[in-house]
Amino acid sequence: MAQLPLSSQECSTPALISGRGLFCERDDRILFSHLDFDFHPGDVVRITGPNGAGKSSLIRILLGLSASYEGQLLFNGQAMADGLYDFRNALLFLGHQVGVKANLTPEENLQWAVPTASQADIYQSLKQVGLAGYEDIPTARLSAGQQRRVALARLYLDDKKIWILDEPFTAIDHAGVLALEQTIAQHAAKGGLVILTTHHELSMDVVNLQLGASSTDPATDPATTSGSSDTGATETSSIDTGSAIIANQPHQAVTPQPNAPARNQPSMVRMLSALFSRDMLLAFRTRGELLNPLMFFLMVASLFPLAVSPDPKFLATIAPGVIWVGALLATLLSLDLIFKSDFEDGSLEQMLLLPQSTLLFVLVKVKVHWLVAGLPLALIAPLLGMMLALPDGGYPPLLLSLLLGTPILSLIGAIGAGLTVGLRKGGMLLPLLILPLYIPVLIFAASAVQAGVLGQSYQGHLLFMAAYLALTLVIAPLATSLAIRISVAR
Amino acid sequence: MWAALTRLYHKLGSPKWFYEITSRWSPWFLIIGSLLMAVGVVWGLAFAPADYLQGNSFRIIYIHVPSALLSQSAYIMMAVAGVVGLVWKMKLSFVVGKVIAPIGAGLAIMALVTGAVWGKPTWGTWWVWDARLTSMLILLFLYMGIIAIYNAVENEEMANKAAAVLAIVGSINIPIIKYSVEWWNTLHQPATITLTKKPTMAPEMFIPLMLTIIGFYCWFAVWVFARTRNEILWRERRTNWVKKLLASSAQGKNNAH
Repeated sequence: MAQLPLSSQECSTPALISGRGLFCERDDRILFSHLDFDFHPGDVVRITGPNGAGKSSLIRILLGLSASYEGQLLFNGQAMADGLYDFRNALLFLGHQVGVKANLTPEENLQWAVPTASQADIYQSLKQVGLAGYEDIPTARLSAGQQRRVALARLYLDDKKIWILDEPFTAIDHAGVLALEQTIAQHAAKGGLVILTTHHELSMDVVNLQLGASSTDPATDPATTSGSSDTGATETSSIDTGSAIIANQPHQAVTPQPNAPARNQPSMVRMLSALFSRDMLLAFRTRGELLNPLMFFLMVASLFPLAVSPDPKFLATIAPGVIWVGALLATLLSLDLIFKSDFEDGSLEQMLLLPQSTLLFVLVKVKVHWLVAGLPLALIAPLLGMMLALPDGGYPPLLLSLLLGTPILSLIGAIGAGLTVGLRKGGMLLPLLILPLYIPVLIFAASAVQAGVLGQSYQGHLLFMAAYLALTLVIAPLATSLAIRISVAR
Repeated sequence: MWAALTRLYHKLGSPKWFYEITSRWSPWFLIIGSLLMAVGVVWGLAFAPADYLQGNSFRIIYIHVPSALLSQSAYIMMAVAGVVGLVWKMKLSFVVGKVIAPIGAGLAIMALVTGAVWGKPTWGTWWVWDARLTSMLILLFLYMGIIAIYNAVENEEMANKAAAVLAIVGSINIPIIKYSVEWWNTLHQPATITLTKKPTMAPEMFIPLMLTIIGFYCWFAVWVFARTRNEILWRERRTNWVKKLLASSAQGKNNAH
C-alpha cells in the first residue's frame, strides 16, 4: 500500500478516506458545508442526523455516484478521482435497494455479486446470515428481512476493506441486528473501515459524524469529532478485538473469515461472463415477457392488410417497410428490459460501483437484449414476409438487414433506456427520443429489402448498415454509461 | 495564447461576468442585426430581380434559408454546449444549451412552414418528401426529444445532463440522417422536383440573402443572451450582486414615477 507522505496525519494510521471542506446543496437547501473528516482503517463511522439531513447524499458523494458537491475527497491521501479504481476494488456497498434480484435464488444472486466465490463459500455465508435451507428458493418468495439478509451475506463472502452500509439494520430482526453488529465490530478490528448510517444505537465504539445538527455551524462539530477519532480509533480497535474473539467462537469450527482475504479480484472476463449468464438466466425466468414484443410485431403487421388492402400485389410493395417499421416499434416495447429492473432493485448502482469500466457491462447488457429481443424479431420476420406476400427475392435481404439492424436498434435504444430509466413516465418519452435516431437504419434496411424484391444488388445497403453498426458500437456504450450515471445520480 | 483562452474560459464560467458582458453586447447585436435585416429584406423583397423560373415566389428564401441554416447550427451549438457542460462541468454552458432548444425548434418550424408556403406555388402542393424538407422535419423531431427531456425530468441538473447526452448523440447522427435521407430521396424520387438548384446565384439575389443570414444570427445571439441572463438572475437570486442589481433597478423605477 503506497502511502503518500504528504497525507501525514498526526496519527499513526493514515486516513483511508478524507473529506475536506465538503459542501452539498439540494433543492436550494444547504445540507452540509465545511465538512471535514478523516476515516481511518479500524474505524466504525456512524453518520447520524435527522431525516433529510443529507446522510444518503453524503454516502452517494463518498461512493462517487453523485458529483453535486464542492470540496475535496481523498482516498489514501490522493484525490479520490485518481484512486477511484483502488477505492472501488476495496469497496462493498449496501444501499436502500440492496441489488438482490427477486427472480434469482440467493445462491445465484451471490454468484453474480462475488463471481470468484465457490458454492461451498456461498452456502457458508448464507448459513451465517440465517438462510441455511433457503439457498435455492427464489428470493422473491423470501420475506423483506430475509431478502436483505441475502445481500448481507456478501459481508461474509467478499473480502473488501471498506464497507459502506446505508441503513443496514432495516427490516432485520433483533438477533440479526446483534449478529450484524458483531460482524461490523470484527471487520473494524481486522483493520477494515465501516461507514454506516443508522438511527440505531450501536453497542461498540464509533466515530460519530453528525449531520444537520441544530447548532449554528454544523461544520465545526464533525471536524472536532474526527480530530478526536485518533484516540477513539485505537480504543475502538482494542475493544473490538475482544469482541471479535468472542464473536468468532461460535463459528470456530467453520472459520469462514480466514479464507475470505485470500480471494482474488475477479478478472474482467469473469465479471462480464457472470453478468451475461445472470442476465440470460433472468431473461429465461421471465420468458413470458419476452413474447410480448414478438406478439406485437405480428399484430402490427397483420393490421395493414386489414386497414389498407389484402391485395397481394399491393402488400408486396409495402411489405419491406411494414416489417421494418414493425420491428422498430417492437424494439421500443422491449427497451425497458435493459435497465429498468436493475435500476429498481439497486443492481444498476452496484454495477456502476464495480472497479471495472461500465462500458463493457453496458455492452453485455445490450448483447443480452439483442439476443432475447432483437434476434427473435429477425427470426420471425420471414413469417411476416409470407403473410404480407413478400416476393422471394426479398427474404435474404430481409433476414440479413434484420440481423445487422437489430443490434443497432438495441445499441441506440440503450441510450434512451439509460436516460429515461429513472423517470416515472419514461415509457412515453423513450420513443420520442429514440425514433428519430432510428431513421437511417429504417431507410437503408427497407430499401435493401426493396432492392432484393426488384432483383437489384443490396450489398451497398448492407455495407452501409454494417458501417453504421460499427459506429454505434463505439459511441452508444459511451453515451449509455454516461446516461445511466446521470440517471443513478439523482 | 493558451493562457488567454483559459482566462476567457474561466470568465465565461462566471455567471456575473457573462451577465455583464452580454448586457453590454446585446444592444450592439440588436442594432447590427436589425440594420442587416432591414437592408437585406428590403433589398431582397423589393429590388432583387425576380427568378426566371419561379417569379416572385422565390423571395421567401430570405426568411426560409436563414431559419433553416440557423436551426441546424443551433442544434450543433446545443451539442457543443452539452460537451462543455459534461466535460468541464461548466454550469453556465448547460443554461445556454437549455435556452437554445426552444429557439432552435421554433426556427425549424419556421423553416418547415416557409418551405411549405414556398412549395405550394412551386410544386403545387404544401408538402413534398423532398430530402431537405424531410431532414428538417427529423431535426424538429430531435429538438422535440430534447424539449421533452427538459419537461419530463424534474431534477434540473439531471435534466441538463440528460439533454446534453441526447444533443451530442443527435448531432453525431445529424450528418448520417441527412445523408441517408438525401440518398433515399434520390432513390425514390429521381430529380423530378427540386429547388431551383442553379450553380451560381445572381449576386443581387445572393448578397441580400447573406445579409439576412447574418442578421438572423445577430438576433439569435440577442435572444439567447436575454434568455440566459434571465436564467442567471433566477439561479443567482440569492447572491449579493443580483440583489444589488435588482434593488438598483427597482430604485430606478421608483425614481421614474
